[in-house]
Amino acid sequence: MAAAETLERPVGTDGRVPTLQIEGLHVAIDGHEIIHGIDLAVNKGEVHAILGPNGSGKSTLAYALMGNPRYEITEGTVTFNGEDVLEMEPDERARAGLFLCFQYPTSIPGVQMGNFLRLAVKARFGDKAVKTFRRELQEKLRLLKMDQSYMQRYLNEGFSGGEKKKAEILQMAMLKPEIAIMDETDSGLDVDAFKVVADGVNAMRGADRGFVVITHYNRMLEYIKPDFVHVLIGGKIVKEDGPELAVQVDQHGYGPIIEEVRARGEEVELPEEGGATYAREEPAARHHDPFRSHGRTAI
Amino acid sequence: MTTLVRTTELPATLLEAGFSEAASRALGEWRDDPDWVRALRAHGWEAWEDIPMPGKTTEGWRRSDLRFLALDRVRPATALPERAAGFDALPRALTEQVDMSFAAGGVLVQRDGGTAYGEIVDDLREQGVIFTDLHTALREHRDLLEAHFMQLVPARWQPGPPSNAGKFEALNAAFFNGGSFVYVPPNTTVTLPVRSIFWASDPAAGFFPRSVVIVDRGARLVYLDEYRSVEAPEGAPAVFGSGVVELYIKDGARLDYVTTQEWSPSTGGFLTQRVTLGRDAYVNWVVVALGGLCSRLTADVLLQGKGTKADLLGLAFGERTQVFDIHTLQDHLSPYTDSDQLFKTALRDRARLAYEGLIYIRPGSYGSNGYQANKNLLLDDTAKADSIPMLQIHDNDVRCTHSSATGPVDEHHVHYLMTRGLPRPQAERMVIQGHFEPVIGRIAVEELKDTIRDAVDRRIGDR
Ligand SMILES: Nc1ncnc2c1ncn2[C@@H]1O[C@H](COP(=O)(O)OP(=O)(O)OP(=O)(O)O)[C@@H](O)[C@H]1O
Ligand SMILES: [Mg+2]
Repeated sequence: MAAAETLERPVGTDGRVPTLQIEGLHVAIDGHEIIHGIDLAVNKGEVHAILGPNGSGKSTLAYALMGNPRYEITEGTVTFNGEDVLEMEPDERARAGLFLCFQYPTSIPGVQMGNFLRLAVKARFGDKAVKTFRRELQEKLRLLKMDQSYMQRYLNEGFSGGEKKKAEILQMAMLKPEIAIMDETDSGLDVDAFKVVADGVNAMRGADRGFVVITHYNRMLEYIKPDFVHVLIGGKIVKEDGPELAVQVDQHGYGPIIEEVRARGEEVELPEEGGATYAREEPAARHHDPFRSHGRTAI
Repeated sequence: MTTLVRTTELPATLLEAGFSEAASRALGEWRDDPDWVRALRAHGWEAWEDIPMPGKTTEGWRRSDLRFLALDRVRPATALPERAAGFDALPRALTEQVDMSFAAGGVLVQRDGGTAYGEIVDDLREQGVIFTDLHTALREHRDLLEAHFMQLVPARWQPGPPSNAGKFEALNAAFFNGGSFVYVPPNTTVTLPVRSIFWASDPAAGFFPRSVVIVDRGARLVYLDEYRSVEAPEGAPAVFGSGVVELYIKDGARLDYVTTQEWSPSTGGFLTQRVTLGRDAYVNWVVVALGGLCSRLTADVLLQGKGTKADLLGLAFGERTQVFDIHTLQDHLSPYTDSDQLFKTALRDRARLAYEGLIYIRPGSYGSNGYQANKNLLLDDTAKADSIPMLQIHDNDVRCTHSSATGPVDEHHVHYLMTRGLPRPQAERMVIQGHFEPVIGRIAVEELKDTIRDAVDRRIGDR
């Protein structure tokens, strides 16, 4: 249906319509523009890395793609399998196969992880999926070295940083998205947890899934080899290249890239020192014989 | 077994609407009050006359709404019911509402103050557990009742700190009619729940159950108390009543208690429950308030013995124009006593909550901890919650906190669930259910949890 429209757009390297296509995207928070025009095309089977200093707008891009109402799209288009994403509610985006591993997952008191996961899987794959749910869950829990008891716990409540990230990966594994955006899933993890998370992601790689990996560290990219690397600074993608770009950033930082951009005559908006990482404050059949086989006496 | 044959015929004085001394006396005679009880009933009437009717300026009543009262249009009692052959032989209007899906140690169903059905498992009876209606107990168990009946909630209870109850408890003392008596002997464990179900089926008659529960030294009891009523006819005043429960948990004993108030939406009533705890005793008490047009609920815990512990949890879900007037007291009377209270509500439409909770630390209650939290979800702009958590501390070696929070469903929570594919109504429903889960999760009977979850779920409606 939307195919005719998308054909006129630039297509992916091998002539396919990109699964996720972002064009000229501008995003504002409280009327203040953070993302100043981004183009990005992601296909299934590809891994894209987005690198950028603190406060450059990486999470803002991710939230906007997921439809967080605080993030206002002021310009541009986003399509997913040719459909206009911006017209979709967040739940429709999720059911279509878009997934975000949050940098700061929300904890929801009273909502049991297991119960929630079952409903989410049902929402995405329909009633049939509930049959295989148990078995699949066991499998994924094992893969992520998570204990069964997580399923009774309230969603992210009292979870450690590492547990929260694992819980995000678990959700991703159960919901099998076509495109997964991973916002700093590697930060705040100790070596063991990091390895479990990275293995979990690697196990999900394949021709039917694309990844956008947002990260600060090359550590993640050594595990999950990206096909493309994009550097986001000041709300713009200022440089893109193959995996070697990540190595370059790892060794020399963003300085040389900023100089390069300035040399091209473009402006780069640099976030103030320290004021970067934005962590949201978390607000706080009837049986009518109750006696069964017991003898009883009238009272 | 009692051999007394009583008439179900109601004396003429009780057929007339309105409350009077003569009616109180007639009721006592009709219900066969033993002599020692007559005096208590009479005190009840005197106190009812003496204690002024609470109003907008009365401490503890400022946010209460008593406009539903039409005392001169209420009959003090109605005819007693026939005994049903079994639970299923009871009227459908009641059985449809009651969850009988789980095993019980005893069930007593009272209709308008009279036993309509009641059974106890022989096992428990043989262990000395007593479960009967109040009137039988007053005649047959004076030894146990004299020291407990109308002691915790006396006939004359002058309002004043730390509790402002008194008026409608006095009315109950003058007109008590029905109620149950549970006694668990020392070191006896009753884990199969014992259930009392009180059903007011005559909308023109007041309901005044009064129950006494005694869990003796080192014993355990799981007890469920359920209150239901029929709808008032069009144009008639609200169905009215006042219930009282006195619960005694002796040294080292434990009570798991669930109170469910599911009166009809056209019922206005009072329910006063007090628990007193002996040394090292423990109560886990969950109050579920879902019914009523206007209901005032008083839930007091007296931490009388050293080292006692009380968990008091509650939930209320208000819709349409329902008013919940909820008063809780955690009265620390001894050292090393711990109380933890959590009350959660959700209100939609024009529903209203007035909550007052007091932690009262008496002098000498050193080493005690008192916690209190009240959290209210407003599902519509038109709903309203007034929450007044209070602390009165008369010992410095204690730890106390209280908190209250009122607000709409957290959009961050809803958004997160939506990003996992749940449509907004389902996401909101899940967050609302989650709000109550820390309370429902504490209900002592597993099967009852789902019944309460369903009841909450029905009230969430289509979001
Ligand atoms: N919800 C919000 N409210 C207010 N300002 C925000 C919000 N989200 C982001 N910002 C601001 O937008 C800018 C970009 O923030 P963003 O979180 O997207 O950066 P980031 O690249 O993800 O940084 P980090 O690497 O620290 O996670 C920052 O200046 C930040 O303060
Ligand atoms: Mg970020």
